[in-house]
Amino acid sequence: MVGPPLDDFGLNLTKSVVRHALRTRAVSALGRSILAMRRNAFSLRSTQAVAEFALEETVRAFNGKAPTAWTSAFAPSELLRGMGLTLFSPEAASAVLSAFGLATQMLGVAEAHGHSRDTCTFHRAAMGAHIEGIFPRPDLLVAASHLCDGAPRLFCSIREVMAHREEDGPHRKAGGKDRKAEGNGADSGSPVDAPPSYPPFYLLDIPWGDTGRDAVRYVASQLESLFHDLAQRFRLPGDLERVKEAIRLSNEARKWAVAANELKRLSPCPVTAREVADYVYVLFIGFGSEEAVRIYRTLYEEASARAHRSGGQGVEERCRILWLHLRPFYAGRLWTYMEETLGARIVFDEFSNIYWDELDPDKPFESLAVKALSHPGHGPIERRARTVLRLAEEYHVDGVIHFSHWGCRQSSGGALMIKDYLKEHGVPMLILDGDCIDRRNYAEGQAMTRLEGFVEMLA
Amino acid sequence: MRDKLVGWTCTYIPEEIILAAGLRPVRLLGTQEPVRVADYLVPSNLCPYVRSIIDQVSSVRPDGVFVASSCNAAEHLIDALRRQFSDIFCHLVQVPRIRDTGAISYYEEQIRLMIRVIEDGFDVKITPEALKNAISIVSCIKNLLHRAYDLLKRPEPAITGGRYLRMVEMAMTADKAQAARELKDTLGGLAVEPEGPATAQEDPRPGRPRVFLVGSLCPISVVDVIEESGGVVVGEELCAGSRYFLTDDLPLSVDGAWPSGDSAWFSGDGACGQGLKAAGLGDIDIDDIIRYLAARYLAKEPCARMQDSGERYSRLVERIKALNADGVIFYVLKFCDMYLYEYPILQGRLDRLGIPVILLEGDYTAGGIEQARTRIGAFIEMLDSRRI
Ligand code: SF4
Ligand code: SF4
Repeated sequence: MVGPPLDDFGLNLTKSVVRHALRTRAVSALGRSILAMRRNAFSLRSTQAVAEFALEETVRAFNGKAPTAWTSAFAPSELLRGMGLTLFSPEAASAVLSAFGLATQMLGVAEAHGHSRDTCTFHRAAMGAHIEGIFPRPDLLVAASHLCDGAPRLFCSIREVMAHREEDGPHRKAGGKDRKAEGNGADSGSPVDAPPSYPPFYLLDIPWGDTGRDAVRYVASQLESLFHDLAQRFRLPGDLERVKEAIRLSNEARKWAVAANELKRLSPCPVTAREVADYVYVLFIGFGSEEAVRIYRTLYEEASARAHRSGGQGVEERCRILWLHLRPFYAGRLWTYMEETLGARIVFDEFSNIYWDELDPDKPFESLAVKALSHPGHGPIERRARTVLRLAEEYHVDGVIHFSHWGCRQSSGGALMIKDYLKEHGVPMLILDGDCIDRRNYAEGQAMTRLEGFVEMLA
Repeated sequence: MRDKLVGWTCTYIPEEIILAAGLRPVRLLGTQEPVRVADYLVPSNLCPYVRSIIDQVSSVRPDGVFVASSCNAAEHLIDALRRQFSDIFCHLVQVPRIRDTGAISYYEEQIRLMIRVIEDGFDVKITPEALKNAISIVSCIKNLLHRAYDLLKRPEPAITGGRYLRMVEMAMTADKAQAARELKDTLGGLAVEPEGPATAQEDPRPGRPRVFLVGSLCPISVVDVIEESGGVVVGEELCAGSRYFLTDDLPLSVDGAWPSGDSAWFSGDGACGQGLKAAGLGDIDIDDIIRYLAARYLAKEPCARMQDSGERYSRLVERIKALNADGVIFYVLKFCDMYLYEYPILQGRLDRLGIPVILLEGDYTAGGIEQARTRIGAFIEMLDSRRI
């Protein structure tokens, strides 16, 4: 997640080096020097800014000046940022571990603790890293039930590990000490037999495919309770104005992201998915921050400058591809091979899709509820398939590739039906099996052969 | 003409609605054989229960199916059914994952929606009377199952785990009147004293290792293998087992009589306030009934998909301890994230108590169970050696 994988650069980071570095204040210096060393690896300034943002957020999570919330993908970052929390995305951090060449070790740790090799490796690697103490300690856990089942289950397990870890000391920050920390949704007065110092776990229940009034009300009321509960528990200001401000910033970032996406329709595409893959970090935890605004504005400016410069010349675009789901984050040649050898340019990817409408700062809970409920992947397969078809048309693609990440029931579970739907509409789709995090689960040679065949067919 | 069959997939779905519409609710339990149709719709690394249901629907052709939003696999199930069987009525029931008042209100709306779609889809009208009657019938069945479970839980079980789970399966799939009759006959035939030790009509096998079973969907043949290997199943927490009928507020006193429509059944209600209690079954209106159903279903013993901050495991461990189980068998279907994540949690808690546990992963077919026989045998043997 910090540009091309680090082992491409011959950096041999061992687990103990990283753990030591991260546990001390040296994290910032280490990260910055890595980024400085790798400056040339970033073809876009905005992409480098993403790496810096991820690093700074992680440093903040370790410094612990504000409570750190671990959040699942698509949890409402605007609300939590507006409350002054530091956010940490274990799923995105697993991608970083994979890029650092550390994921396999972390997966091994989780597996040795009974975690099945069939679960999603974004979560399993995070579990291993948590057991090893590599990740910052969460003060609270917030999972949204969209998109997948893995994150809520992971967070429940993380809490359990913390509750029963013998060496677990008292809570290191103010707040949360004086009460049991159940989180939400449980029966009042349920017995909790673990010490009160471990983090509360909040699950936001996002109904699947229901965008009606009742669903909006249901989700909005959960967000509102979360807001009040956190304000009280962590003695935060509980000032709705700051949440509204975060929503304005989110809208601003959204505006630049949409504008940058517009440019990707051009041929040749000024910025391909290969360059913006790491933006999932911003998507997961950045919206609601000033950094996200800066990152997307810079991306837009860079894409627009390139579009003017190239004027359609100099880049071979044998065929245009829409990529569904994520890509492998460890070292590998898949995307480079596709673009540079086969001339197949990934002009758009599913995670760049800005699927939600502008939020209303005056209705923070309601508009965040609508945003959550409107995710194309969280509803009937036709909803996602229609979105994919629309993207295929808007970005003038010749074919679609779905990367079927082994443990992902949410995305991979629907791949065959999407392929079928697209076929009915004359759009070819290839399903590539693999794993985004675990190189043990991926045969690159085989994937490349299949890609070659697909591109031949398209071109 | 056969009854109209309407399948349901998850114990959070109130089958009372189907029954009140004059249709026959049937729990879909899949073919439990290698699949054919499902392979065209969903990948092989998706829940085998869900895959098996796709094939079951293809062969049984029910008139309707209610799928709960239990998990990602179940969401793909509704998509697959709609795509493949456009002539079959299919509806997704949104089941909340939390249990507070907001969730109950939302679930109420989902039950109302269930009523509307079933009325439209089958051209029927669900009256308050029909709904009350359906609630009484289902309650009667669940109370009988509760009694069967009590037999299993005794110090010397008066029934085998296999027989007990077959009773639960029958109750979920057979015509309800027939199910109630059969349950009463079976329970009567066991001639169990209400107090004191059970009359051991079935071999109680004293002294054998006592096993508690946890998991999602577990084929009954797994239980047979456990019992053939010398274990006694003394309790379970399974999706096609106690999770069907265990509710915090379920009254234990019902004698299994066919409901006459009186309000005794409601007397144990703690979930939806005084209003219902005072009103009694005869007077309450449809809104109260729906609210009651929503509250009651969400008050069920929570399964792994529900928001949990450790309570589920505390309660589970308490149940296991209370039954003096010598060991726990954790049976999980392959690719079921909900339960795969649960295993390390439970294992950790049981380890601290010195209660052995093994994980069995299954593909929901008979072939897979035979492979597990050796492991089950070795586990039971180990438990046995610890008892001496
Ligand atoms: S890859 Fe799939 S299972 Fe894993 S975190 Fe993403 S949506 Fe969830
Ligand atoms: S067995 Fe697991 S994966 Fe399958 S439907 Fe049930 S909870 Fe979902």
